[in-house]
Amino acid sequence: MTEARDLMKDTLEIPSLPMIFTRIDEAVNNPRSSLADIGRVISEDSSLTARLLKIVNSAFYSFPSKIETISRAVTVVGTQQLRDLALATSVMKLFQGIPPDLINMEAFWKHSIACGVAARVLAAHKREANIERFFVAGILHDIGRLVLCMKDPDWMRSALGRCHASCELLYKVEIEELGFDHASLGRVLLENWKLPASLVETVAYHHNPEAAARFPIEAAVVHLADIIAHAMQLGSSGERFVPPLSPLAWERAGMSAGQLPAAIEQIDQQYREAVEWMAPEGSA
Amino acid sequence: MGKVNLDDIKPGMKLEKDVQERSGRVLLRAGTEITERHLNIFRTWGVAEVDIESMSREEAAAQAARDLDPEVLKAAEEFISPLFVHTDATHAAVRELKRLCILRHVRSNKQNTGVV
Repeated sequence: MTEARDLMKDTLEIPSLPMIFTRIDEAVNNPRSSLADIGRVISEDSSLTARLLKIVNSAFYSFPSKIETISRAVTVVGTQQLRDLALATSVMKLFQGIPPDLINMEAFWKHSIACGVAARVLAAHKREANIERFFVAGILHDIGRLVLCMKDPDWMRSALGRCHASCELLYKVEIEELGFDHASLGRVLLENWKLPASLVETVAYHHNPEAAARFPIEAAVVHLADIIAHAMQLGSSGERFVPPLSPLAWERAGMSAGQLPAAIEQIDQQYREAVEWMAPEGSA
Repeated sequence: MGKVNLDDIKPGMKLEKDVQERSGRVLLRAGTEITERHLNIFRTWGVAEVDIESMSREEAAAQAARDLDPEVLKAAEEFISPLFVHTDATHAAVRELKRLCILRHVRSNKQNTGVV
């Protein structure tokens, strides 16, 4: 059996994060940079700027007045939130050349957006601080599957065929045949990208959130969000079935079943908007 | 009596409390009789639930479900149920999620065929 890490050893064709994101991240983490500095870094990328302005002016935020500039957005939305939104919108362009018979990229990103939106809505219900970190974790949760499709398309094709015939869960087949699943692969990728530990752990444990030791709430929320996105059939990650719910994660997410109707209504609304402004150029 | 889900509200029901959008602005006053147009306004402003006079969430949901054509409901159940084969149907959250997805499926079919 190989390990997720072995598969990632040869990272030649694995995309790296866009330079602009690294620079925004550095600016946000640098205690000496002012809000204006951070705004200036973001403004260097005009398409990112346009997308971020669309997001902060959408029903995601429902600010009473229009936000016209990035410097204003930095002030009202917050630097970390804007950094997380920038990450969410920039990863979608990275994976190209995956055979469409394996994964339809548009459907894949729609599932990711649905999970991100669901995580964001659940986090808002819990009154968590900076809900965009939940959004970006949801966007990234299945990214390991794209790596799998790039690294071993033939295996992926046979696994999809096996699941189609047997009605098994794809992530369980991954573990059975490879010894690891797309969640572990996602962890290795995000570690290579040097993303924060909370994101890494949330993605790594979205199918077994009980094991998330440092960020149990984040992992539980994204676990539940993934289940809701599957149940609502928004997009497709290659997995055909609603994954099983961890009762412990349900408790940690702190929801009651009575909150689900309102949550689903909000997810539907925010999803419709998010799909519009998240669509990477030339893919939708 | 508590919040009622937007999808379970029928025109003619009365608001028990003011409806506010997220920034706190009042969209509609308590006591107003809800019309189809109001429901659209709520959707536009991201209002997912409102307080209705003498009606609980459960009652409204049960009433809305009774109004559905049993044939249509059955077809939606048959479509949604296979997705849930790997989940634990004894868990309250799973049951509620499944129920909501079935109703949501019925509604989206209605919208697609133009029948309201």
